[in-house]
Amino acid sequence: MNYICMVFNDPTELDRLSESEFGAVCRVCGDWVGELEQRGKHVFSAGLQSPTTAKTFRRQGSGVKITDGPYTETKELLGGFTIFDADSHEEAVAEASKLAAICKGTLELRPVMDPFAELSDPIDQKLARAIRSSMPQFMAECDPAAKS
Amino acid sequence: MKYACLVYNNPNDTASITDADLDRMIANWDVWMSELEKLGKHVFSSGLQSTVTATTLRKCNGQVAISDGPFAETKEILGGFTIIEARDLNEALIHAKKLAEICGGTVEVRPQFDPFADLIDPMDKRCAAAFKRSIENAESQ
Repeated sequence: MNYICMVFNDPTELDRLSESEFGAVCRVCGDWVGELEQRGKHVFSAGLQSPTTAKTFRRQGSGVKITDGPYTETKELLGGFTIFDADSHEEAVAEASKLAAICKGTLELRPVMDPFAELSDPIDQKLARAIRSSMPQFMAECDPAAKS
Repeated sequence: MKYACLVYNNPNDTASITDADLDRMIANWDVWMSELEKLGKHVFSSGLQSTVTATTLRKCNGQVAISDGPFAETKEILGGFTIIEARDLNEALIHAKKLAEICGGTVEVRPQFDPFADLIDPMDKRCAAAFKRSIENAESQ
């Protein structure tokens, strides 16, 4: 099962770090990803530029309203994420705990949406049914039966 | 340049939508993604399970505290994302606008952090410099 580990941080807190502290955080987080990579567990990672570079698109009537800035006006914002493979929720939590101990910020861990997985939430189950029936092109890529 | 399109939606909207409307929305999404794919502009997409499945990890006094639930208790939550390749922000905005029209939620677009890209924000520049130093240090060892 793939899990996403999202890192939320406060830009003003990062700004207070000295250059060497900043470098040390980058290095240990990079090592964490490198270690997942070596074990074949790393799926995808991306860092995002600061919230000052964000634009937000909201549906308004029949049109779309575009505004500058991030969607959420919270102090801590999504700074980046890693998707990795874990055999169980416990393994995913153990992996994320390693990152939580070294990175600056708070982590949110969630299983990614897999229309073939056993899903606990009724809304996820509803969404999975819709994906299986209405995403022919996406399904052609991710259907385990179609691949084999 | 790569851009992240983050889709925020309200789970109550998904719960109350009819199956027919949900199927239509998902089908439109499929078309949007496969068009990007054909243009060679699709990098990576993933949906996320509901926030009832979320676990939050915080470092407090040198220890990692683990709790059930999402990081932020907001009405709309991050439901998924697509990373696209675009020449510039204008091209990214065209794709994002289409997504906002069909996805039934709010879309936030942000350039992906690339330490070698032209960065605007001073924090991003500091972060890029730190990344480059850490690469240089690793190479010199």
